[in-house]
Amino acid sequence: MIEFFQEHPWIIIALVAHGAVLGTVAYLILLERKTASWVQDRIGPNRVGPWGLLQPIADGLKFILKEDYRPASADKVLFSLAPCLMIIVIIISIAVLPWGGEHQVTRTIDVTGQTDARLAAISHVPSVGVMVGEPKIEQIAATTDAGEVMAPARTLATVTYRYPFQIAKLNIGVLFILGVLSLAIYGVVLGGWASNNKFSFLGALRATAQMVSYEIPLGLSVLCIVIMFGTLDLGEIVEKQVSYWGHVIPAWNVFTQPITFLMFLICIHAEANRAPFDLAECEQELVGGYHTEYSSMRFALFFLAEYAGMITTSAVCVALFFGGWHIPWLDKIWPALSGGVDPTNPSITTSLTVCLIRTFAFFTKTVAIIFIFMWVRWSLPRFRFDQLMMLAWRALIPMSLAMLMVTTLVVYYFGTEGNRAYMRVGGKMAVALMIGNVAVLAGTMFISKLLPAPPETNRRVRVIGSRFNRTSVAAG
Amino acid sequence: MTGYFSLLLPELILSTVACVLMLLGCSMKVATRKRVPILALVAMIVVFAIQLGRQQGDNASVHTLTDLSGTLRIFHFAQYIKLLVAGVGIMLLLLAWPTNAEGTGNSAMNVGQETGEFYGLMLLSLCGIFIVAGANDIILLFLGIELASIPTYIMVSISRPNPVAQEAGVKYFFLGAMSAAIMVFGFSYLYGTTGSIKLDQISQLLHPASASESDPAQTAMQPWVLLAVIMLVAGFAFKIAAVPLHVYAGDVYQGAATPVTAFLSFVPKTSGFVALIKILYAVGGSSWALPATLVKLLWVIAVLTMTFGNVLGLLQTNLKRLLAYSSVAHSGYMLTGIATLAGAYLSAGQDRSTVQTDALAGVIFYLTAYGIMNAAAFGVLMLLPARDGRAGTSAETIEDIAGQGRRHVGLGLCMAVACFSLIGIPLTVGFWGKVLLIKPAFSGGNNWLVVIIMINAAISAAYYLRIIATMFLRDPVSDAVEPTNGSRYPLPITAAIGISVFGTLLLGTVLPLTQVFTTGTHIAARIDDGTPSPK
Amino acid sequence: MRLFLQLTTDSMTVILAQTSTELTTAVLFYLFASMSAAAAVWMVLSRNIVRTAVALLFTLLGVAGLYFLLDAEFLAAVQLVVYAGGTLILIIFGVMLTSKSPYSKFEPKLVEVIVAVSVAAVLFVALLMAINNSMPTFGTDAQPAGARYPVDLLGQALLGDYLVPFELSSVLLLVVMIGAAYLAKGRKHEAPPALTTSELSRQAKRWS
Repeated sequence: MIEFFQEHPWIIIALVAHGAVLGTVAYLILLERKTASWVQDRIGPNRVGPWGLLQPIADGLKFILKEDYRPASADKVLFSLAPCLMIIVIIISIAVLPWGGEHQVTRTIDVTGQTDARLAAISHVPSVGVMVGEPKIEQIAATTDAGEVMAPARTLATVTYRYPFQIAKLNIGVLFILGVLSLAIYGVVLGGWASNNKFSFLGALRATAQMVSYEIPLGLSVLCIVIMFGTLDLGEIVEKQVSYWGHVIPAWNVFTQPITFLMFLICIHAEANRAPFDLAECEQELVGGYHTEYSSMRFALFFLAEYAGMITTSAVCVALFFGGWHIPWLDKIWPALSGGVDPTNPSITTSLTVCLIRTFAFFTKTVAIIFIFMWVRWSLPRFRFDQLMMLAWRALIPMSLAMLMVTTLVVYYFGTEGNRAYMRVGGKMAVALMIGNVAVLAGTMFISKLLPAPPETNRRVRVIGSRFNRTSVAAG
Repeated sequence: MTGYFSLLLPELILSTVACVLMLLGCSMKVATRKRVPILALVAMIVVFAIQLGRQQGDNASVHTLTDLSGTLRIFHFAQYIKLLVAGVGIMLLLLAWPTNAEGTGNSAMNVGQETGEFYGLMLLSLCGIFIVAGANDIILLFLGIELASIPTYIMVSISRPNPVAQEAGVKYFFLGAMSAAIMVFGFSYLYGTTGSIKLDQISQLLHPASASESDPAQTAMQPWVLLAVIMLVAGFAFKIAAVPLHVYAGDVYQGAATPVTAFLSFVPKTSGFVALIKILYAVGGSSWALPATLVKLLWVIAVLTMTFGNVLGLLQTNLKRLLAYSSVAHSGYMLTGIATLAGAYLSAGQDRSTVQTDALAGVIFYLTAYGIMNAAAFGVLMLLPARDGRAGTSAETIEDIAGQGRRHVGLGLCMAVACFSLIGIPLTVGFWGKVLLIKPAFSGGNNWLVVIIMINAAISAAYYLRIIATMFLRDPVSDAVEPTNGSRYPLPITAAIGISVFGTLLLGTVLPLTQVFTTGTHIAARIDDGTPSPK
Repeated sequence: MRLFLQLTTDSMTVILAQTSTELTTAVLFYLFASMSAAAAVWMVLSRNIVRTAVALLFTLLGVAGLYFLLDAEFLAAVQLVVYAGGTLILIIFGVMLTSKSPYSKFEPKLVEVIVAVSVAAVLFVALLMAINNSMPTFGTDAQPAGARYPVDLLGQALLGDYLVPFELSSVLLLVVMIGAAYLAKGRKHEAPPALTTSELSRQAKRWS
């Protein structure tokens, strides 16, 4: 059994990762409710199990046992297809997250009796693995208890290979995630349309416009990071953040690209369709938006997809800006956490434990980002639709374009010459990027003063007595 | 090998100026927007001057210009086409001058909000043909054709603020998109079968240098390549409004404002013909060895296009629609030249190289002639008023121009010259155009084609003469209203008509004696000198 | 239980060891190919315009899967981002906004069906004839089997050898963007000329 997992590591990783993500989703709902109650100064769920820890199970049971209702005039095929599509694409997008760097394994395999010992040894290397060097083949004379040499002797082959500690390693990882996540919108759109309900339909329309708009700054801010490292592989992007500036500050992108990080964070909030960007389902206007007509497990799929989508986007955020699995400072004490096998590539480790610790670190950071999602949701009021569009088209897109230009220029002038494959962000480049970020922010704030005012409809209405109205209200 | 900058200088000027124009068009000040057409005209004149300087005569030491990666190959043919487009482009730009909003039926062009975009799109469209002429890369070729076409879809829609123009624009766009799809399909097969996107490499792959030059087996073509070429011909047929893809012409030409109609009758057509010639050259090799199937196809298309265009033209009462079908018919005439060119390898025997050069020169000359003479017809139409004084229209129906030749004698005479030239009456450029098409058709053994051209010319005479007769012999319809704003004959439009009529007569009378254009177009018929591409 | 687990994993190991990469690829190929073909047929036959668009989505996804199988990962991802995630969603957006009822249906006339089918049949027969005659011979440009296409090489090619087409396509996109903005701007239409009494009465007669 162990041999099976050794030869097909991605299967176990896939099973565990998906199980963990889907299990986490259930507890994220609990976390969400707890966060809400903290923000609103309540206690929150505390009846089912200690501190309400069994609440997700109760919720799940409720979903399963509810009546599976479908409106008579709904489009039968698309009504069921929509939630399926949404959850499928979200789950697929988990595949390329780089949980724990690369694991290097050395195994000795008994290849006695094989005609070609080398090929037989290589056949034991997992399909996702890359062999390091050639397999070593030795003949070992086996002896009986009496000391006689038995024929034939055993042949042992030692192979060393490394495999990525993730489900699938794609050299276009970021692009893959962007592409697959952009399909999640079909769930919203088709669900809203197929319900044959005007509120659902309006929600779907809003969601489309919103997601299409926010995909542009999202892609552009990812592009800033991609340009810095010259790779689209999330694993490599993480690996290149594993170092320090001046031995103290971790070389994470959040320090070099703070504005890009903020833009990315805003965009993933919008892509997740959560408050303050939840115009697609805002209860006060649209009843429930695109999932008004959904109930039971079909609704649960939408619900799960929302939280699973948050996990994916937060994980991408961690990988792009927070050094992925990198545990800062701890690797000074325990160097094995940051490689040790190959000095140019800290992601390679020979210890499975290290991989698991890294995965845990990655996961913790992801949950921290998700907590920001919840914090924001329960703290900020919802945007108006024109404000939402204005934020994307008049603020985020021009700013992200400016950031892209700044990043390109910095990479051009400060980037290391020669082999870009091993490029890391040096101290000078980091400072230049930070200055660039600040300059873009300052420039934006300056230029925004010069731009023509937004159309009349977007001005503040100075209601008498409100804080926008300076005139004093007659007392009494 | 030459750098991109010098190779693409005209294209760079056009596209840069187009962007500048679009930015100027955003200005809130009318004075700034008024500079837009002037800047556009200056750019066109500069490009024309550059191209005039690049015509290299019959110089043996001239080689094909290529860039480092071989995406462009520019020889006499490309240089001449660019000169032609720049020259006719100046006329088309003058026709669209925003002085005659009421007359052109294009109030948008009265230095309104759309000025910058309108002229920017115009320059980009012309830039598209420049790219088509120089392209050696099927991707670039396709992009060039689309760059020449897509601005015209927009120009049709924004040219007039009425639903007819919108409908025309939408119709034109959808059919154009479909033809582009067919074209891309054809290009993909061409790439799939040859594994190359460079036209010269495709030519070498299909016709290895080792094979004998005059072997009829050279014309054998893989079915896949044939399928590709047929799809490409179908795609180009839309651009040149050839039967059966001419159906859009009537509605679109009628719906668009008159200067845009003039633009439509030249620009997409030229891009289609240039691309067709280049593709036939690529798949046929330098000896134009094309299979009999393809030749038959081109022959049938040519005959159908001429005949349909002229017969339908005969039935029209709307002048712009009539000129649309006339444009279809003229495409048919040019296609006879292409058919002769394609068939010469199989039918013309020993002197086929002469026939091929003559035929290609004939097509190129006819393109020039059509560009020159057509502008006058549209220009006169723009200056004549509409009958019932509807705002935003110029003369459109045959009733509108009744008797106008007697009121506006100059305009009437110009229209007469244009119509005579379009028929092909001696002493006009149209006559020489037809002569140069008929001559190689004869020597190539295409006698039936010649007969059909003659019959068609006779049919077309009927409706062109009807225009002239209506203008001079009928009494004016009483409710004709003169344009109220501005001068009656705005200078730019008059200048365009003047250039057009002068060119028609000059090329029809004096220049044939000096043999200038026969040598000129024969030089232009050299597409490539076969110098190897880099890499 | 332990024995059962042992047996299952053993058999899985055997199966997975036997399923060579080629077989997996073949299975996936037929999966993706049949998905795009079936979805394409669904798209043509469906009369509901939104379902048509959804069918197109599955066609595009199938094609993206085929690109993945061909190791053209960048192209596959771009297919997802640009076509499935970008263009098609705008199409659906437009369709949903413009269709008068949410259940807009295509009602093709018999003539249209006949024309469309005959054009398709002609193209299909032409393809069959071409296949029957000879399979296309491919040029020598093909990469060796299993070669990867690194993204940075792709970028260098786009800004190197293919600079002119690349830049030209951006000019083209600029034109398209301006055109789209123009047509979407909503210009003021001139009022149609007032109808005369006779025209009005004629119209009334036609409508009655």
